Amino acid sequence: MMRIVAGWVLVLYPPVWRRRYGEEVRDLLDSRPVRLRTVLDLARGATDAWLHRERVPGAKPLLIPLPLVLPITSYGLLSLWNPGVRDVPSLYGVWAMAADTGALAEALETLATSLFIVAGGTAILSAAPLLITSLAVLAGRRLPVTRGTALGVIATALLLVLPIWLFCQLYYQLVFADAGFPVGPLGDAMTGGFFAPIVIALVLPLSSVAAYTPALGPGVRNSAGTLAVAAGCNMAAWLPVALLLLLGLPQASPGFVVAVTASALVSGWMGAVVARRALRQGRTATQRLSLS
Amino acid sequence: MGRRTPDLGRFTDVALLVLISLAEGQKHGYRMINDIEEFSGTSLEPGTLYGALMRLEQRGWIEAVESAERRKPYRITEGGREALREQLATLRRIELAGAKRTGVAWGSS
Repeated sequence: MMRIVAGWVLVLYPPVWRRRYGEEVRDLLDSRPVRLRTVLDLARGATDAWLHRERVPGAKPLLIPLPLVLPITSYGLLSLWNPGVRDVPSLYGVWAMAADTGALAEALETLATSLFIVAGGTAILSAAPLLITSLAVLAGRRLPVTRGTALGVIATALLLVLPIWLFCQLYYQLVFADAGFPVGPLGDAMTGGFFAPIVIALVLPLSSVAAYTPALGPGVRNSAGTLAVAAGCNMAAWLPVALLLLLGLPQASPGFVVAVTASALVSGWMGAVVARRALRQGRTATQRLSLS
Repeated sequence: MGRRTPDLGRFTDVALLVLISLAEGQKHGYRMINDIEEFSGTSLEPGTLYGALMRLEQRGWIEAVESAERRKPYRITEGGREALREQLATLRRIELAGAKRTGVAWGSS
């Protein structure tokens, strides 16, 4: 049990430290007795490694960690939506003018909504390869630390089920069950752009937990690729929204245009940052796999 | 040179033990822990050992030896040997001063 807890404590170390020393310490944990004292020593070591992160060979200046950036960006994105994008006269005016072009406006609206749904759905599905690999590890005869990480992946997934389900449910109620805002077809088309990147970001912790365990490497790599597809769909979905806005631009208030543009940039950036991190973790996992 | 080396902080003593261990040849973490326990009676845990290794590597006193193995060996550098000699000389001065003031000489009854 202590061996598994010690494996989890290793996740608390800075990523640069884990890249440099993680495997060696895992090896020590696999080959020596692990007691409460060992776990406490590792926890103290994790604090020390964060406080003196610049001393780890190969460490670059500390950037704001992604686990802090993503919640702040999510909050910023939702703040842009409310009230920036929920400008009722602009939403109705732009849509009315765009709708004069005929079927094109409806096609663009359907395309944007579909791509955002595909982005969110693909992000959720990206957890599947990692979960399957983790279950296979648990079913096989693996080192306790590896089994502990696989268990950590499954526990993280269970923790994420509720927030992801809540976001999906809220999106469904707003867009398809007319529970209130968004306003009109243009509002429907855009709403996904505020939910999809948050769902994409919520899935990232799974591969972060698994990235340094070679046995979970194939799952991390496949999960990262799928998450990158989700981020791509999220970015692409803003293009039909931009076209709709252009078609009805004279009816949009300047504040609305700025809010939609900023939302598209923040939403796309958020998805791209998560995809980049996931792909990097996939590469790390592949390298670890080839070394093991 | 002071007993507590600047920047090494609470890792000063552990760092000295690591340098002594590596002075006889390259070792990986597991062998270092066993060796240190054998010659000093100090049982190191991985968090403390790697806190010291990180600092020693950053100072250039030890270096990792390229290895495809999961266990990466470390070896002492010339700078590390020099630092070790200085620290041992300091310890010897302390020991002499202690022996002189208490009238106890190590190894004698």
